[in-house]
Amino acid sequence: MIQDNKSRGRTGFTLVEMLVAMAVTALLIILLTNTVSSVATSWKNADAKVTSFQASRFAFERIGRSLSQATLNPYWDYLDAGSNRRTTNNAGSFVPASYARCSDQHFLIGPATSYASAGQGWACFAQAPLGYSTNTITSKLDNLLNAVGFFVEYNNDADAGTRSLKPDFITGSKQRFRLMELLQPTESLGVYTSTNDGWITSAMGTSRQARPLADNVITLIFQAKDSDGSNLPAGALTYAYDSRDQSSSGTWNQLPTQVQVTMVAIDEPSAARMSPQNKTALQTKLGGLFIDPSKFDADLKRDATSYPDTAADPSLEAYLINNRFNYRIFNTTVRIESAKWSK
Amino acid sequence: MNFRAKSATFSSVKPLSHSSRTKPLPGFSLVELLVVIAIAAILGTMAVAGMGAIGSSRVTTAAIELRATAELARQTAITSGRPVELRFYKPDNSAGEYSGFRIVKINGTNETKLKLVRLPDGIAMRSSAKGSTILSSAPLTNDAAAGFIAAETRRVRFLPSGSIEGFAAGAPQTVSIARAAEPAVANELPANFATVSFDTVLGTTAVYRP
Repeated sequence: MIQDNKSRGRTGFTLVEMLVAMAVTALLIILLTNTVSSVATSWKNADAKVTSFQASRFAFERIGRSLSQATLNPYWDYLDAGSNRRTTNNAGSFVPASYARCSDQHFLIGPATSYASAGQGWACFAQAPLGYSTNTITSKLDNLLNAVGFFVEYNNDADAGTRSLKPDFITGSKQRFRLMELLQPTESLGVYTSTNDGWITSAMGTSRQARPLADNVITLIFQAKDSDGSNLPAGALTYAYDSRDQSSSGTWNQLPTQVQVTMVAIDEPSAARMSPQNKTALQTKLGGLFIDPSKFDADLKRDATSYPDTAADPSLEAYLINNRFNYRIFNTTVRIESAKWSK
Repeated sequence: MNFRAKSATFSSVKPLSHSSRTKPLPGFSLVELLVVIAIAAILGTMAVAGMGAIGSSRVTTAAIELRATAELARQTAITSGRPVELRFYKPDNSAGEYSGFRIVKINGTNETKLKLVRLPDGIAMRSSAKGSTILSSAPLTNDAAAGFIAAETRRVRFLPSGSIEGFAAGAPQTVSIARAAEPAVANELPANFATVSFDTVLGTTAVYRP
């Protein structure tokens, strides 16, 4: 009887009760895990957005700072009646006929594909006193002249010429659109010994001196501008600008007064989920844009009034919205300090 | 509930007045207990795995912080037009690996030292040549900080051009961060680490994980 009395109300749990309790607990844990993981995902996305655009922003500032210091160091020299300069070959027969502005340096805006096979948009190459040297003694001089260039290409971070950041012991590789910087140290400047753009092609050749500056930059556009904001060379139907192009007398051995730099970046999650087909489609889309400077705004910006439906809008921004890329457009106008423009 | 119904029928032979009191103790059978233990063990394993993930995320966080500091040092060097150093400090306990870093602005012989960042407990930078070229070969600089060995301090100097002084323009220079508890095998990295990689020409940095 005492035993019975004691056992009353102490029946313990049955297996069924236990299972039900555990099922409820499991359900709660699953709910909690779901919430936590969805919060973590959105935090990660936001974080990726901030960090990837942060790298692009730093890179963009670097482009602006480097280009604003671009130099040409022009001087006046004689030309003969055929507009040729005195060289060692024609020195005996050279008869001066006129003066012209000359320079041994070079400022060029050209299609990125001319210098990098998987290039995108426009590339800009120039000389600027950035003070980079591989020699420990001369690197103490802060104003040494360097050749510098910026372009975008689609590449693999494990390939030679791109692998300046990925250590050997990290396996795997990432193919991305990357903003690259060409930086030639003072002691290996090639600009003085080459005619036209030969120094660029050799610097971009087998042991190329370009390094990744930021990942996930899909295109870069440079526009040489006059002080009144009009495009240079005047009336040109291209973004290209070549200070060594003698046929364009207005811009021969001249720096543009200002350069408008436009850069479009996407975030890492958007880049990571891009399939090879999507990548090819994006390249095709970009290939058809930014050819004619008069269509610049229509190529870049979404036009919501003319095209309420983004699918019909031919602009890059509408394409990125349509294909759910997280993107950011950077745009600035860089004043080139040493431009000595006279018409 | 069926179990209860069954026990009720067993007890039905007892006098009616006592029937409500005499239900036997159902309790747990061995099988039930084993099931519960098994499930608890599975949950426990998952929790431990989760804790591991937290540990690895701490390693990543530390690497991201180091990268942000390096980026700040480079930006400061470019904007101020003066060299800026990122210094790495080794604690003065016997088994210590490098666990502190800070920015030092150089102005001639004057040095402006910013706040020293200490890695959280249980996380340290490796100093093996594989994974941490900077902590095994960067120049030493005699810089004292409380709790650290002055003579073991190493530095990376960002120049106003943004580049890092004194390295050949070739392979990236690295600092790897791992949990201090993971045994250090000479010239090997543990399974879980994060590497901050420096491009010595442009001074750019990136974080890599295995």
